[in-house]
Amino acid sequence: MKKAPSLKAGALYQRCDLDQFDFDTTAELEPLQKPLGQQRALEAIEFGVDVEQEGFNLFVLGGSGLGKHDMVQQVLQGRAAHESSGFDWCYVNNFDNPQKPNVLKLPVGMGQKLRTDMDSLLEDLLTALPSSFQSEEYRNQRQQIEDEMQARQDLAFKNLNRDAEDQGIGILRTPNGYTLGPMVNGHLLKPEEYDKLPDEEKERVEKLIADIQLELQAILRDLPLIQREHHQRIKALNQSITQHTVEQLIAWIEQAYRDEADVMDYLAQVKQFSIENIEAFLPEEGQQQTNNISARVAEFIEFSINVIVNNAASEGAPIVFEDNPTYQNLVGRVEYLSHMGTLVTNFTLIKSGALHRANGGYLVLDAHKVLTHSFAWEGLKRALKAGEIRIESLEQMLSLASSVSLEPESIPLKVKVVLTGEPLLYYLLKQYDPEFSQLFKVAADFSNTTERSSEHVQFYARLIGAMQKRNDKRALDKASVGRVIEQASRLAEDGEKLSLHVESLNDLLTEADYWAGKDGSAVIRLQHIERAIDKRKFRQDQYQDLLQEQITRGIKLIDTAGKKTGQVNALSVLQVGDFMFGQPSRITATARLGKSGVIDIEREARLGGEIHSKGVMILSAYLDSTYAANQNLPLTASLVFEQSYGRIDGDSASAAELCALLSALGNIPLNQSLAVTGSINQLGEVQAIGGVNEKIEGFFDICKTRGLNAEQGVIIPASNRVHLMLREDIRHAVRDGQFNVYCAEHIEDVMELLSGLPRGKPNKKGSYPKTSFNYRIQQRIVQLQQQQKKLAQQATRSHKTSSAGKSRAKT
Amino acid sequence: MQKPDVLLTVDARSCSPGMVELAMAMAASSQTQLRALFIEDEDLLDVASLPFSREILFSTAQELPTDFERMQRSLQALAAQFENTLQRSARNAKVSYSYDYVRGRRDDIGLREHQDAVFTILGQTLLRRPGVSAHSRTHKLLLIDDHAEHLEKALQVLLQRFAQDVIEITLVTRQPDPSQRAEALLATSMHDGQKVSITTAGYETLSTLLHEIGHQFDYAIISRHESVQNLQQIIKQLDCPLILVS
Repeated sequence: MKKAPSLKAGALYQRCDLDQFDFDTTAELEPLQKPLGQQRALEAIEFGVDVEQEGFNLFVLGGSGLGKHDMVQQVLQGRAAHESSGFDWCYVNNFDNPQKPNVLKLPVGMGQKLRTDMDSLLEDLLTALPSSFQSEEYRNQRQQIEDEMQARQDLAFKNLNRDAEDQGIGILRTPNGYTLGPMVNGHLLKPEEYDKLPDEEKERVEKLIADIQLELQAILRDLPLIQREHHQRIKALNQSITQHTVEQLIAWIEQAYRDEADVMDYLAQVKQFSIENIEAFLPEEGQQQTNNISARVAEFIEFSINVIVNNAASEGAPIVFEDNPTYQNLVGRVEYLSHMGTLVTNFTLIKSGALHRANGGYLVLDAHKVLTHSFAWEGLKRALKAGEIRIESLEQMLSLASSVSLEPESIPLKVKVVLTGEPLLYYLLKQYDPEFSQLFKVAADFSNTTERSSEHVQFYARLIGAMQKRNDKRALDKASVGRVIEQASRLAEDGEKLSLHVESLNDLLTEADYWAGKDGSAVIRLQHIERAIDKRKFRQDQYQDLLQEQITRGIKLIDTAGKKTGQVNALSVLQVGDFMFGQPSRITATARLGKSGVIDIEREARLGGEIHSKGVMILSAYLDSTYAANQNLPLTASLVFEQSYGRIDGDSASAAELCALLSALGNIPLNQSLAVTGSINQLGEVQAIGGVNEKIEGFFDICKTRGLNAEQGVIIPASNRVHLMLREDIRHAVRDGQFNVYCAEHIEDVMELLSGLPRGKPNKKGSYPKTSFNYRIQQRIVQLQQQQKKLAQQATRSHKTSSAGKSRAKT
Repeated sequence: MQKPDVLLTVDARSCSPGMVELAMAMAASSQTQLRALFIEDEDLLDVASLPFSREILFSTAQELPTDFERMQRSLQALAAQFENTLQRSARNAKVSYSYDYVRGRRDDIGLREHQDAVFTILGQTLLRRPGVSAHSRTHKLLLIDDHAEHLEKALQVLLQRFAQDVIEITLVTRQPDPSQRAEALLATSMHDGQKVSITTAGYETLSTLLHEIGHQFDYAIISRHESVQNLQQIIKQLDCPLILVS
């Protein structure tokens, strides 16, 4: 049999042709302006941003590190720069109902100006109003009112007092009021003097005192009415003085904001409040007017302007990236102050959310963060659906709090929301949240890879140059650019593709720049890229080393030489964080007479995943259809991953499992210096698998440690050939004939390589040549069938003998 | 120069923190000690002892039966409050004081005891109900001048207390040139920027003046050279605290 040829070293790696570059370093390159390989996503973003219809918000989906954020930012900045800056938004006191603060929508820059103007107005009021009340005119008017009131009061008492004295009754003040007693010649009678009075006189005096007492009580009862009238007259006077002063002071500010109807309404309320609450502007009784007006300004929160959105410094529409999208950070919140052990709040403690700041522009959010913060997603959807931002605490939203809080007036919302996230999130939301489709109608899907065409390679070089310049790193020479591009193919796990994972590229360039700096090189050269790749691997591959050490020490059993029946080296990939590495595993199979078919021990032990079980079922079907299409297959075979104690999934070992099974069935020794990877279908075709480079490198490292013998190698699916981007040391070993990489299209290709036996062609009767491995399998199946038949006959005879014995006994 | 002394006499009708503060200011200004007397009014106790005696309350105009014991307890409670106020004010003003609780009639005791004092403050508010609004307003002052050595000092203290307010002074003097006397008084007592106006009247018009507008004054400063009869007559027609000055 002619042995299948191993791949040439050149087929194991897609080199980047440096001749296509007409630059010496990336410093000469014009930076790439448009994102590479993301045309579909770019058009979707531009479309989504252009359409102003409600619900045309964007979901930008793609893995992390693809540059979604940067591209969105780039597009939005380009668009927003030509758009209006929106408005300033302010909350002001609602003088009718302070629990429900009013909102003011103002042209850009006017919010801050209004705040300053209101502070000035308040300072003016605090200065001018007390002065008005110190004026001679005011004092005289007030004095007149007070004197009149006092005179009325005094007159009533005086008249009563005089009348009482005229009738011989004295009125005396007591600590709590008054008392009345009889007088003679201007002197109050002593008790003993009173006792000496005739009874008629006593009766007269008591009646007189009772009458005067009634009058006194009437006067006392009238006093509150007199005082009320006095208070009203003083209040009317105060309002008159205040109105005059306030109207004079507020005139300029009304003139300045005459075109803003909302502000004019607010100023009217301010005016009314000032007139009705003049006492608040005057120094407290007995205190002098303070010169520190600024300190008093702070006391008048009613006049404050809470500018929650100030776009004065903005150029173009706002773009807000909220990296902590909690419910409150999105829709805003009302903060509280602790005062005397109680939490209190007012409209000045209303804080804006990202939706406020982005209103009239764009809001970019990480979908995962929005979904993982409690109620943030619900809050966002509600705002978008209602077209308004309503600040409501979670307690209020969930009706958990019964305490009084603020209910700020809602703000109309016009914003384009851009969510970024993993594709899985997008599809889950699409599937399970009906509102998502209504609110996020545009999907911008980022690619992980792009074609490694010559045009894209040129763009990639410019992308490298752009990143190097943007990050202020050293330029790369031609060779290092080529190596970065080759590494991009390796990351894409495809020699004909380039990875678009810009974060990985950025990390590689940063690390290479570091090593170039260590070397004192002005330019990043090939060796710096190589060192960056090697050092990164070195930092991460401790676990891989531990596993390989177990194999080389013979703790984990892997043969790399000799032949064994029912035993194959399979290849698997492990991932630790973002580091992937290959590792060989031993698969063994046993076959015997029976009826159970192929038993997947992993599945029986509940360690096998669904895809792995599917692979085993497929190989069983292949076995049946290939070797026992028209006959019974009396077989019980079992398959297992030896020394595997964790969960196994995937079907990339199904080719190896089938080979182990065929080997056990046909008693065919298999070459242990080879390892196999690939999945198979029911027709025996070997299909592509992932992680082919890591798998090959994993087995190579074991062989290299034990010593390469030119027989060792790996069998991979032929369709994986394009994915090969193998390490340089493997390429050298292959070139030197010390290691082999074989491609297989069918399981019989694999069996030929492993067994060293030809497959053979079946004759007209379906029998294979005796030298073929298929003949051995066929023969074993015949043996099993005969053995089964023999056992069946023995069982029948035994049954008959037993039945005859029982009949005789009955006779 | 005689060391000035301040005497404050109050009873049920005139006991207020304002009186204490005025007396303290006077004592602090003169750097002397204050004598305070709370007078348990005999007349009140006599009336309270009558079989039909009633007390009419300020606050509700209701009548309550009263008797000697109740009235005395009420007066003693008021005196205790007064003493507390006195103690607190003295601590703040850093003035030393003495306090006595005596029975008698305020005018009798005040007029008898004031012979030993430079300033005697007699608190009185006859019938006016307390608690009337006292917003910054014009204060009316009656000044009866009869060669009292410390008249300026008393005026100075009062003007100081009402430095932010407008003061209208009515000066009744025996001086041949009342205007000159008025100017001299203001020159020594007024504070910078204070709004004080003064009108003068001859001594012969005092009786008429008291009869017509006596109840309008907020304070009166009276030279103690007046005879006791005169003083009693003046006190009767005024409805405000008096400061007798030696």
